[in-house]
Amino acid sequence: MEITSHILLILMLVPFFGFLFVLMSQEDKQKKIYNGVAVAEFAVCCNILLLGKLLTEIDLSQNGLQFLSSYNWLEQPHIKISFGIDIFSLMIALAIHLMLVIGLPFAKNSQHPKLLISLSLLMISLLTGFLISADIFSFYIFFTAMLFPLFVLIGTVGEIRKSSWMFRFFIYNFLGSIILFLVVCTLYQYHPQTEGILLEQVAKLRLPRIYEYWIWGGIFAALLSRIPIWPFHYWIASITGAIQNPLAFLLVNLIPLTGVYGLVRFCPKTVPESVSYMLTVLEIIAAISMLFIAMIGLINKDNRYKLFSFMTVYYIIFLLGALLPTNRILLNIGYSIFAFLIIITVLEVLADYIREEQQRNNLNFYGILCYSPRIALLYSFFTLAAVGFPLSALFINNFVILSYLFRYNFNLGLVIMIAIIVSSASLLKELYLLKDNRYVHSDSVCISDISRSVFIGLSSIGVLLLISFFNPLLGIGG
Amino acid sequence: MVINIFLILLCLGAATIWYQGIRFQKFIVSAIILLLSIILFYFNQGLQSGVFSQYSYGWLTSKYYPVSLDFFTTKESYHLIIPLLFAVILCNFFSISNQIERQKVSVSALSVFSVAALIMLICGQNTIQLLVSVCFIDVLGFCVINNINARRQYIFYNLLADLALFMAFAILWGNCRINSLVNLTECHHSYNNVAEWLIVLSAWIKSGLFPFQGYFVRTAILNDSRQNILSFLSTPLAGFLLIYKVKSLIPDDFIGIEILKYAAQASLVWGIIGGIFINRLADRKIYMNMTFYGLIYNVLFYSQTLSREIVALFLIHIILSNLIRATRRYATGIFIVTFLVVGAVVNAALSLNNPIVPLYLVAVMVTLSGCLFVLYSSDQEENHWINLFLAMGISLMFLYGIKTVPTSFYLWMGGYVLLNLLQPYKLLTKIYANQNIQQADGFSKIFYILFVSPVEFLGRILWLTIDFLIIERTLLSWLAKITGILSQLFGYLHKPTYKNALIFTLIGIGIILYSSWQGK
Repeated sequence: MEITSHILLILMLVPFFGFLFVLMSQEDKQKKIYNGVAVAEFAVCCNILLLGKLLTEIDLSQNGLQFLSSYNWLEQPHIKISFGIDIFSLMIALAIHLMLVIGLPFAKNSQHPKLLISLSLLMISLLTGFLISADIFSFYIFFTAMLFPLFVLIGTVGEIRKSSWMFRFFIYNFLGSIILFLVVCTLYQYHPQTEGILLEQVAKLRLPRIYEYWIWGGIFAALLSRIPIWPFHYWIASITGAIQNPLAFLLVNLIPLTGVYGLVRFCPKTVPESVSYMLTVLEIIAAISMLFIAMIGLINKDNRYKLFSFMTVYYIIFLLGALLPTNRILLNIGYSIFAFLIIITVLEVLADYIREEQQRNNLNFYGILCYSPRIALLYSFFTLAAVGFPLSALFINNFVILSYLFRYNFNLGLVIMIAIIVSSASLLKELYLLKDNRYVHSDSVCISDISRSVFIGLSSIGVLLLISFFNPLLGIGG
Repeated sequence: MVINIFLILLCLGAATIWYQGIRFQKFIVSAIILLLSIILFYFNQGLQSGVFSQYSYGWLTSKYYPVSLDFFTTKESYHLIIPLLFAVILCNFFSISNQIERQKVSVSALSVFSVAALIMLICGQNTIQLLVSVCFIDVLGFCVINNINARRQYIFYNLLADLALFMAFAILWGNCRINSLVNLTECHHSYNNVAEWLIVLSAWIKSGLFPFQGYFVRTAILNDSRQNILSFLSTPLAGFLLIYKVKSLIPDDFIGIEILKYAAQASLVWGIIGGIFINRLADRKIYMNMTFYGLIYNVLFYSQTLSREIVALFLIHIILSNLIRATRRYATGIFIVTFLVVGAVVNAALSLNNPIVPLYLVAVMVTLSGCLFVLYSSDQEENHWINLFLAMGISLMFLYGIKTVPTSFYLWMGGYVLLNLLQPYKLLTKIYANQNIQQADGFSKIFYILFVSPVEFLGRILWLTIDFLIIERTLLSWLAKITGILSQLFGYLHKPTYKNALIFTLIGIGIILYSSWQGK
């Protein structure tokens, strides 16, 4: 019982200790920080086991956060921070950990493996903290704190060459954090509750109208600063399109997910009536962003940008689903995100391998997969799963999400479907450019295929996904 | 009963798909054929003995969207599954003699999986089962195609069709909260019309009916074994079965169905034109398939039921379309098997007390004898006996469809037979012998111009105007200029002069005064 009451804290601390360990370890040039990877894998796997334990104990029939635990942070002013978890955050946390398990072995190829692994662990620790935060203080702390490893990751491991992009990205995200800070201060000023303000209580607080505008406007602005929303998508798009390392790419692309998660956690479906029009505005902006980014993804030749645009489209679908005035599909969104993140991780890992081989052998990008049957098979499988064929839990859960979207707003559903078609076509187009044998000549050099062990590892993930299709509620129900 | 067959087929497919060896391929495929024949016999016995059962597996047990997988053994499912089993046996049989195919066992396994997915589609009692089975068939078709160009077109067309179906069923489920096909007929909602259009569009694309035949025509590049699976056990048939399954949901006077009828008739015409003018044998076979699907759609729309004639037509068509590509070396074997299969079909049909069947038997025997005679005795060019085969095939279709197809079809088919036999189009043949015309892919171009280009154009315009012009060149350069001006200003203020010191001191005093005034 004692362990269960502190399990959420342990979840956050395990990767943090892993981060400290890797940071202090000696870098072995010959072994390429083998120890660091092992420690990181161990820490992440421990967390997966803990999350598995929570999964078995969580009560699906109960609404709201479970396993709540509170800790005194400050005496004067009296601030308590609280942690809690529900099935939605649990599924996201599990997916993020699995994402790291898949991505970590590829960190060894980085220019700064030690830094990358340690920062990844720190990022996971802070992300876990963010996902389990139950009150506005802990939410704000983790919301802002995760920017630190992120900036270092982008600046060093991501190898972003344009400082102006970094600057914009930093300003944009930091502005969001400042706005949220001001919102938190305002809330504390008006409701200095001794137990702290839980996230779900924010919507129920009675405030003067002008403060309602400010608080909800601030919350939306702060959280949207994390999502590549049109016309500000450029800040995030330029960075994600240029990051050179797959693990860094994946971690940076979790940032929009934190925005989506934040909006879900604040439960805007119960926002005060005076600010409910903001939701409509948000929906419109989200729909425009989706279409816009999907179309740019289609015309853009950069493989990373295509993946970024695909991820953004799906994040916005999840956001729009979560904003619907029903709690029924929250579970489906969680399951869908779980499968989605795993698919994207494998696709990025494979795409990065292809890019590296292409640069090393100075080859044409088109037709590069023609003589690499293992990568071609895996890339095809995961692309088909991503675009919506029945190969993962994404299929049936997306069906449920979309059916609800059609039910509540048919036109919005239509726009979403168009965006899905365009972004799926973009991914498929990419796949066929990689496999187009018109560009391959018999005498040309071709890339070396992935090793048998990597193939088996990634295939087993494919099998896991296939199992998740047959059991889309992941044995938990819903 | 059906569930047993389904599971056996899954196991059979799973057990054989991993075999990559070259040796014993023919033996393994023969063993698969034998097993399939036993299954067919066992299944047919079930029909004769009147074994009917209902099996449902609760796939999703969610309280909000429960989904079951239904495998009901009804008379209808017997009638639909038996020909499929025949078809898979035939496809595998023709695969044995295929010299080009190097992975006969894997292809055979894929054909078995395809039949399992089609059985799932046939037995589907809810929209999710239909959707899943249709998508599975697509994925299997994707695996069957081993040519990159054919595969690309196939997956783009089918992705569109699948997403249309996905959207249609999502609309129905979202608005009606029902996924049972029987209960959906009672649900009336303003957006049902959109769902009906989408279902029709999906079946239209999947069956490769005019003008969506592009992906179907591209499969001509595949070898016979793969092409057979794709033509008879994959997406086009899934499209047809889809319409058959959901026909009760769509009102008879729905304009989408009317348009689909015209598309089916246009396919018939286009298939015939292609069959006449395209020189390449493999392409002709595809056009013949197109004619076939155009025909069975019309038979379905005009007769309102899936008559036994269609079933018989389906099998005969497989045999004939393979015969036209068979080499002389295998002609005798093919003839014997054809004879046996046709006999079996006729027997099965006779057992259903269909009085017209003996006539068909005579017709089939006469036609096949004629074909064999031409094959062995004719000194004419290859093209002529192929034409004769095509003509025979079409006349058989004509014969089988005579009960249900309207008069306009007779004219088309009769015209086709006459054109093939008399060949009055020498000049046109010369024109069409032009390589550019033969290789022209007008529909892909039209598709690209109408659908893909506008989206790409819009995307580029948006990128240019928003990303580049507004954000990069206007907003950012504006921000950069402002920052530059501010830094210049602050730089100027930080110069060590008395004037600047005075300004800073005044600003400080101003802040103090303002704060103390606020504090009061």
